[in-house]
Amino acid sequence: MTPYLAAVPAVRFFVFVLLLCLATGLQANVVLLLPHAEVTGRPDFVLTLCLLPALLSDAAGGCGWGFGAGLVTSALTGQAVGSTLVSRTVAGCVAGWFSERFVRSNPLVIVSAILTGSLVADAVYLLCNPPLSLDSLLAAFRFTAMNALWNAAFALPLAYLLRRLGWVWDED
Amino acid sequence: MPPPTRRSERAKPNTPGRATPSRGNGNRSPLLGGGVTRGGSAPQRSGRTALFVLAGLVFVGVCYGILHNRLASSGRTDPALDGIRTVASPFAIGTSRASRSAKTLWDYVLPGKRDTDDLARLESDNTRLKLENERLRNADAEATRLRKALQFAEKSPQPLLPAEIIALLPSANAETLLVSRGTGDGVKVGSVARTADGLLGQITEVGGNTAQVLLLSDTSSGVGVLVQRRDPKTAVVKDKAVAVVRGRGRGQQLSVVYLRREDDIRVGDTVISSGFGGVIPAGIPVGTVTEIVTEKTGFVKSARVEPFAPLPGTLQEVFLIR
Repeated sequence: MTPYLAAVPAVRFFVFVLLLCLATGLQANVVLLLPHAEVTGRPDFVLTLCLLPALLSDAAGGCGWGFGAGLVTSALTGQAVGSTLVSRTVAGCVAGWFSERFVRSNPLVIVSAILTGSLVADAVYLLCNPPLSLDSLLAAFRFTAMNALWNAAFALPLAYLLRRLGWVWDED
Repeated sequence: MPPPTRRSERAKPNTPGRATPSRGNGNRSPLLGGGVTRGGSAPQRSGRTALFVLAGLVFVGVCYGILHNRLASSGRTDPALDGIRTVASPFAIGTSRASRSAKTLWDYVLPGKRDTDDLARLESDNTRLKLENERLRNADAEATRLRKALQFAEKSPQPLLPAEIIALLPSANAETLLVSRGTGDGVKVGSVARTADGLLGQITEVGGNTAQVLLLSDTSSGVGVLVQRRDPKTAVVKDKAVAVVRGRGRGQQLSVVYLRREDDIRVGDTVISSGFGGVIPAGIPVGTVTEIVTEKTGFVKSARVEPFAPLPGTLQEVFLIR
């Protein structure tokens, strides 16, 4: 995409929506094929992708991005709507808060923010939908932690991709 | 890699403005440099504003969740979510097909693989034969039961509607799939989703072109079942217990609950849907008993069941029973 085209917010947003749709497809097809996912966890491309623009904003803007992410996630993945909206909104707020406090373009900050945001999103979701047994709770905790690590691992490649598509991590 | 620094240490002007092409000012991270830069960052709002926005959006989210649940429980479609699904599902299906094509291509490239066309044909035949075999076994069991009864009612086989999986729930704690069939295909809330191996779940929400499947492994899932055992000498299948199968979460075996102490259940028994609820048809295989658990009170017991259908495993296609 040319820099001038990428500078138009509507174009950037449209590209982002396209990426989100692709991420959902990848989630259903590539992530699904990961062996032993109940032990190793899975990356959540949709959540990671939605938290990255929140890093470009502040806490209030991050809430908005998180809310939008929750809406898309619940529509495309069928999660409980209210819990998803709340958990993603809080996660977006955390990511935005990170970007307010630290240099947002620093790779370490991006990875930390995605890791924390993923943990918060799944933790709030678990809080809204507590498992019925201790076994399920422990499994969910383990799964949440592994998911967050996966998301953190994919944060930088996705951030780089967004950067190439016109989303900017400037130095303020 | 520069270490993270406090924003307050940097004290730079914060002037939001129109995006402009990059001029290579060298003021970017080495990893994320290049492309365009904004004239300034987003306006920094106060912490109180952020708190208000967060509280407001959480409140809206909760209210919207309640509204959505009410719409779903009354069998109506949520227009906002259905709109998003309708817009996004072609892309998701496209990705899904591209992924499968890439896998097929890889199979061609990789030496030592079987011929892909033959494999696909054999898999298709296998699926068809599994379904046919299961129907015949059910018919056999049913005939055995009916011979002992005075009344007889003929049952027609259930029509199956193949559906592609569009999305799998990526997060923890809930087990749902999104499939590429909706009200336009005659799918409705309560329709059953299955694979060639056995019962997969039930449709809980339907849009125009998509439907959401609640998997058996979800903790909120429950299905009435019969526990059966085939006599190795006479090959007659006998019902041993009536119970309910519940999900225990991702990666966990299913649990058969409400078993009486005197129920004769053994490891290796087959669990099939009972059809007593009138929603899920009878005779769909659910799983095999792997463990019997006696409760501390001693009055009831439960059993662990390994599901026949992979949950979600390597699922690519499911069948819906309308």
